[in-house]
Amino acid sequence: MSWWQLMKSELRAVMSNSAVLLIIIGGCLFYSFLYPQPYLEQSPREQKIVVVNLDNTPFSRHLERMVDATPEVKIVQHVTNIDEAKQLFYHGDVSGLMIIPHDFYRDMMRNQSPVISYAGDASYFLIYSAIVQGSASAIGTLNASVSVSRLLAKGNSVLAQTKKNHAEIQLNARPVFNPSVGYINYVVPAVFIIILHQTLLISVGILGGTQHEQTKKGIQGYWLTEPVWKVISVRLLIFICIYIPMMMYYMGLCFHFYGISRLASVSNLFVFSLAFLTATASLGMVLGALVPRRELVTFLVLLSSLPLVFSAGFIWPTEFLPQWINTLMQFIPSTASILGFVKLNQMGAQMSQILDNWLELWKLAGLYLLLAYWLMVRKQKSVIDI
Amino acid sequence: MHYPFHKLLRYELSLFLYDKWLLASVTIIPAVLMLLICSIFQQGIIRDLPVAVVDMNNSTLSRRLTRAIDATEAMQVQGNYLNMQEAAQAMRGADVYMLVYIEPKFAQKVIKHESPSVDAFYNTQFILVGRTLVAQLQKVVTTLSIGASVQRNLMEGNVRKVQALGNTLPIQQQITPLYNLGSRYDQFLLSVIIPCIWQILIMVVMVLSFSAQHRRTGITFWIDRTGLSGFVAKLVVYQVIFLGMGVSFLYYLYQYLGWPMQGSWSILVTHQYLMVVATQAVASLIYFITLDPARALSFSASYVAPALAFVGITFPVNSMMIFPKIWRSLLPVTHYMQVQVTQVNYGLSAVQILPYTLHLMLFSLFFILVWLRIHMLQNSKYHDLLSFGFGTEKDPIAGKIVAHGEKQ
Repeated sequence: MSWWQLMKSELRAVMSNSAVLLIIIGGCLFYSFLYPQPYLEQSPREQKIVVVNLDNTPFSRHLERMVDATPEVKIVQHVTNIDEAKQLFYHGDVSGLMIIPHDFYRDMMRNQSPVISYAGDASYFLIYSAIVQGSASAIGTLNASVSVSRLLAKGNSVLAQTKKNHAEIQLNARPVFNPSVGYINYVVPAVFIIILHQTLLISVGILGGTQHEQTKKGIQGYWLTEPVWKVISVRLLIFICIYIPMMMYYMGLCFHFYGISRLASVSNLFVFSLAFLTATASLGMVLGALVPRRELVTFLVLLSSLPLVFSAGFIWPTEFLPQWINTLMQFIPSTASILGFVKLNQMGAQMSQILDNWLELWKLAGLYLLLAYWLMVRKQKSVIDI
Repeated sequence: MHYPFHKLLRYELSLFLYDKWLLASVTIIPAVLMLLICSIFQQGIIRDLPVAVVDMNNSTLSRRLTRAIDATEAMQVQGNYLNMQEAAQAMRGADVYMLVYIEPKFAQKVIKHESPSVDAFYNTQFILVGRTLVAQLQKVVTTLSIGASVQRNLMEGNVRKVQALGNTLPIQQQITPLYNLGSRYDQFLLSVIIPCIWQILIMVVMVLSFSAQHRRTGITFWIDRTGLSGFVAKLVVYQVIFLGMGVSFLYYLYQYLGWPMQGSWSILVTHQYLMVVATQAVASLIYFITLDPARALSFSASYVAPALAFVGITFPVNSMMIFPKIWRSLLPVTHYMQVQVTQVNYGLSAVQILPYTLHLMLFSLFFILVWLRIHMLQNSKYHDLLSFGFGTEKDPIAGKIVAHGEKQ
């Protein structure tokens, strides 16, 4: 069989395999739409809280209005005691509460630093941090204005003017790489790589598995008659050709649509993608050759998804993983790929800074290609022996 | 033909010997998954993450700030960056998670009352981590700021120390993270990741089990012979297995690890049972529509794999738009998680969580569709194909049941 004929047979095998097509076309397109859906609002806003104002002076009501005015927090109820606030909380009407103590205004005027207590439901980290952020910024602003008016009252108007803020030292914290601190920019780039990785593994694996099943039925296909190295090269080429447009769709159109930063140059992305696709497709061939039935590829890949996401380092730093997990994850192409792509595309790293990740992917590619070659040669031999 | 129910149960168990992968999927594989996911969050809190400090001032005060950052639980000052270019490079390479810049006239400005600022650039590509680091840095800077201020106030006049503090911060704040007092990540994430993996497992194992049955006898042949009771026997066997897993992970989290749990165990376990049945209903429907394990698993994958994003623990439901709200209500784990969270945290009564109970029960309606589909298959021209040519003359199921049960 010539190269050209082999290519045609392989392409026909892919196109006539409905399970593979379902994963490549259905899976990839569906996920690119479905996955970002929960995060379209980017960050949680207007989280509902209840206020227990035991002070009830114009000043404490001013504080309430300031808290309510922040984008993160919305005061939906006022109650007179803490028990009522708790009930609202249990019913899920509010996710946080704020308590303004008795004599709040008096204590403040007497320089006794009264304490505002507030609480948020920390079983939802984002809700909790929104409530903290909103309340803290309102109280901080109020603190500043009280300090300035105190200085003015002391007759220190010059000082009051020069002081931008009550604090001696200010913290000026700036978010970088994801300036809007949006959830989409945080989750989607990494998860999209996982999706491409998993679907590629499954589709290459299912193709191998299908042919293995056909072999068992006694069908002598090109995968048995052609030299293994040729089959592997053609399979690699075909899947890279299918996945390059898919990656362009994910990292081009989708990223543009969801407003995710694209700092990398197309040539760098291409060079890195080649390593990513080769390593992943090779692992897919190994999986396809290892399992006795094709659906087991999907089974294994699907079950590994959540552990892969959480050990990839973008949610939970790899510094905190036990060594054995880090070692294990080095053997999965998604680990180096996520790091590489995110650094390159979202954080604007140079190619030299992700060279390690890139080389690691090529090493994995080499390893899995050899492994796939060995497994597939063994299979061919076992069939010929019969 | 009518078989006694306990024999059908035995027949179902014998399927595990027929398919070793099926056996592994309810024993070794869940154990390995649990070990993996629990080990990932072994540490639970953020500790000693690398942070770059560019100190252009190099005074006693700026060095005190650097040491204070290093002393926090979450941060560790790393390397010696002399200028912003080097440090920015380290940020882009993700070698450090935050970059703190101390301006050249920092200490001098404090003395002159000019409110210098500390600039911190934090990596929001890692949101969870970034937020924690900023919160801790804010504490460090506030403490340093109060220290400087109290010192000056004491120097300027004879005020009492309490008043000096009062002068600095007119209003103080006390913040309580309810239900997760230590703001522990393991408590936050594990309690939702594990049920999501559990749901994936129920889906795929049910599909594998139907497909194993199909390879063994042909799926319609099996239905023809054992009828509804055979189908129920299969569901019951897996209900016991998955409920066992569910109870084990709850026990591990809320007894062994000792996380706070206010609710009732019986309510939790009942809803776990409903969750298993609900997922089984969806899995059966997907299998009987596709009739091919590979395609059935592909559909299951797109259905359950992204569940974690939709459950509403990591990202709040009240900030989702309408489509994700609809999609999440179609996932059993969503309703189960509502029950778990409200039980564990608030200990709500059975009446208060009734909406979630009803939601979970609604999924059982899918069984009607499954049954209709089975009837359709039994009457279709594929019937013989799907029963693998096992005709009336050969009865593999009866043989197995006799072989595995007592002599009739």
